[in-house]
Amino acid sequence: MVRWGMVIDLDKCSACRACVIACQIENNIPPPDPKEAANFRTISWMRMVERIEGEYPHLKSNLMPVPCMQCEHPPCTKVCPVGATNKTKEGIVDQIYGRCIGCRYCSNACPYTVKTMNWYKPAWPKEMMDSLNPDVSVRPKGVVEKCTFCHHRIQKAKDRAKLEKREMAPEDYVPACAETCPSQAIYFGDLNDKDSIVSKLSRSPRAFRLLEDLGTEPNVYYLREGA
Amino acid sequence: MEVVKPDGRLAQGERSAAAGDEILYRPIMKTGRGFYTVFALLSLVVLVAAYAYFTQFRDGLGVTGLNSPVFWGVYITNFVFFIGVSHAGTLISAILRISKAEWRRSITRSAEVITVLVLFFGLGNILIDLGRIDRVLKVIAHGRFQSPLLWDVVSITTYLTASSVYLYLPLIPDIALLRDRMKGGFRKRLYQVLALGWAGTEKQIHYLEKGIGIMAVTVLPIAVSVHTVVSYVFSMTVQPMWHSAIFGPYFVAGAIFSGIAAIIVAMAILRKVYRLEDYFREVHFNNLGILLLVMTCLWLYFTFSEYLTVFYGAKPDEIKVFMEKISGRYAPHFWFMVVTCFVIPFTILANNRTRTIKGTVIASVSVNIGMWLERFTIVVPTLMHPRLPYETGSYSATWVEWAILAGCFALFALIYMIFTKLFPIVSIWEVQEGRQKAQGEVAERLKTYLPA
Amino acid sequence: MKVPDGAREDRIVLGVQISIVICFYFFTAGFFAFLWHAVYRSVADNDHPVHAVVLASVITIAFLILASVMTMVFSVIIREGRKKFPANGGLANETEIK
Repeated sequence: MVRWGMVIDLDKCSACRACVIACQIENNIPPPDPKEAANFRTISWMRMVERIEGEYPHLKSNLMPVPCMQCEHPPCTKVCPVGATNKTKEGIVDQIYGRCIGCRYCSNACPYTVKTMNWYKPAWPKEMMDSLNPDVSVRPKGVVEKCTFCHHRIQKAKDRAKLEKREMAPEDYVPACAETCPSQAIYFGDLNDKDSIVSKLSRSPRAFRLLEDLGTEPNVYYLREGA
Repeated sequence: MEVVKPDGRLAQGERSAAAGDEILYRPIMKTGRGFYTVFALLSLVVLVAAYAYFTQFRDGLGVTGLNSPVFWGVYITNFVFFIGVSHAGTLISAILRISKAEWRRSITRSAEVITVLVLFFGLGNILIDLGRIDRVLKVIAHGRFQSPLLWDVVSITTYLTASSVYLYLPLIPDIALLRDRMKGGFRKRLYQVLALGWAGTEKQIHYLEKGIGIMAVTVLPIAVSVHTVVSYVFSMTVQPMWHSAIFGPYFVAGAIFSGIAAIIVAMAILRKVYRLEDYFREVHFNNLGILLLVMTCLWLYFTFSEYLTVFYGAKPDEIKVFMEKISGRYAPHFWFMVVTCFVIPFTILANNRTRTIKGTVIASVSVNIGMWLERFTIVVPTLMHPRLPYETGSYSATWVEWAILAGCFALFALIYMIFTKLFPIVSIWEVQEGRQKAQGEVAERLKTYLPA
Repeated sequence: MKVPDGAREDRIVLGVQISIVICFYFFTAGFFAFLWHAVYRSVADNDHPVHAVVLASVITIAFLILASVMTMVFSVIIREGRKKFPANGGLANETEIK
């Protein structure tokens, strides 16, 4: 069985945030209103998280891109009252916008704070309406959303493979962030395939996961900086 | 300790006993101008709240102060608070009935009504908090019982049903009394239907008391489960200072605490407005005041235990939340809560001389404010400090949320007022039974306690 | 002319009283349907059925107790009330308390 996973090499990552922008364009995430952004309501499925240690001027700063961890034991799916967020067989934590009642229990249960809520109806400036991605549904107001590893691209990859009369290869399906990263710091693939790059990198001595002691078993690995 | 006041009140009380508790029928028979004025004012508040909700329904939850990571705020606080107050009826009615405390007789009805009504407001606030209230039926069609929210749905529905039955059963003989008084019209029909042909026969009384007895025992575990599962909504997550084993008992104790305070306030208002000084006497407020004193000490014990454990263990994520409450942005709320939940009630209630009706009412109002703050300081500071390094959130409720809170109180008072106009707010038959039979029964019981 | 009308009224009142209990049964049945459907769903989807089974069992017992109490109280009080009426000389739902 396929288990989609991601490895982010923090040595290669320059925190340019191209992944954040790519994600927003690919997934029809509305640009934040400045007032709403000031009230912490920006929707961003890929977040650049900064951790600062020490006191100025002896600072150590880490910047990490944080998508949804697609945990093996997701705290969010446990608490959803209607099953709007659930784990698919291929390892992606799904979000069904049509089922979601907007109770935000999953958002509160997630220890990585990767879930965001549509507080208003998403709105784009008129000029941007043509650039919406037709493969991704625009969410209504009042539902929760999060990174889905661009799994709408799986269907596209399968269709393309069928057209070319072949099986879908793992490289056919890659999320927008991995595709866009200029330093190719984001690797994506099948963690259960022991020959895939993500599988090999996840077993690297530099590999670690966030909040491992919580037992969520995230499918997003990071490679430590400064080997 | 009952104080015999050298004024006309006791004499009036004696008169009312002789006149068959006429004063208890008066609110149902007559309605004064004061009622209509208060009704109109409360309706105005409810209309403002309805408009506030309409803006939220139209525009989305963005009209509130909620954001990421503080996804829950005033509405969830209201939900927990109102469900907490619903423990009023259970404690007084069920526990005092089972323990055969005779002083419960005049206060059980007003307590039971609080329970049934306030549960709707708890449920209402959850519905108001949903991003998609139009999809609420999905909870019924696609409900997953792994989610503590479904435990809530089930538990609260069961409690609502049980407490409605528990309100209705002792109401039957009183409705029969009203049926016999009314000459005709819609109300007489209503009472005829609801009285079930009550004639006060031996068999009817026996089976009614049996039914009430079964309900008193059944409603207790249901009530404990209700606030426990409400606490499980928080404690079943792994968030710092939510994932605590103490939440179950802490919330139940807090619920009983705010429930008693709510009854005291309701009784004091009813006493004033309907001139029920003879039914809600000093002794009732004194006894409830002592119960409130016990609960305030229990509250302090649980709170101290929880915070000491967090402080001593010093887990980094928990300490961040702890410091936010003790000395951070929510320090004023936290310390105000400690003052209103413990300092004020304890100083008033521990002293015999200050444990008067006025004193217990002040203590109760203080407790209710404090308990709302306690729920608030449980919900928001934890959400403000997510585990991953992230901008610390902040939360300021908007007019919409405050309007809805005010509207909940106003609508509750409104419906309570309507109830007092339809049914007696003091259980007439139980008071009469107390006068006629109780003394003999109590004397018999006393004999069995003491050596021959 | 009063007695036939009174008897008809009496039957209407009795009808409403019985329908209150029937409504309660419908509500209980609906709630059971919701509970056991959720159990079925959780077993069929293999979605942690233990929670559903435990909760549904406990709540079913609680509601059976409630339904029994309602049945007992309603049936005894209504029946006793109707028995009294020849002695009272009046109609069942107009009985006065002795």
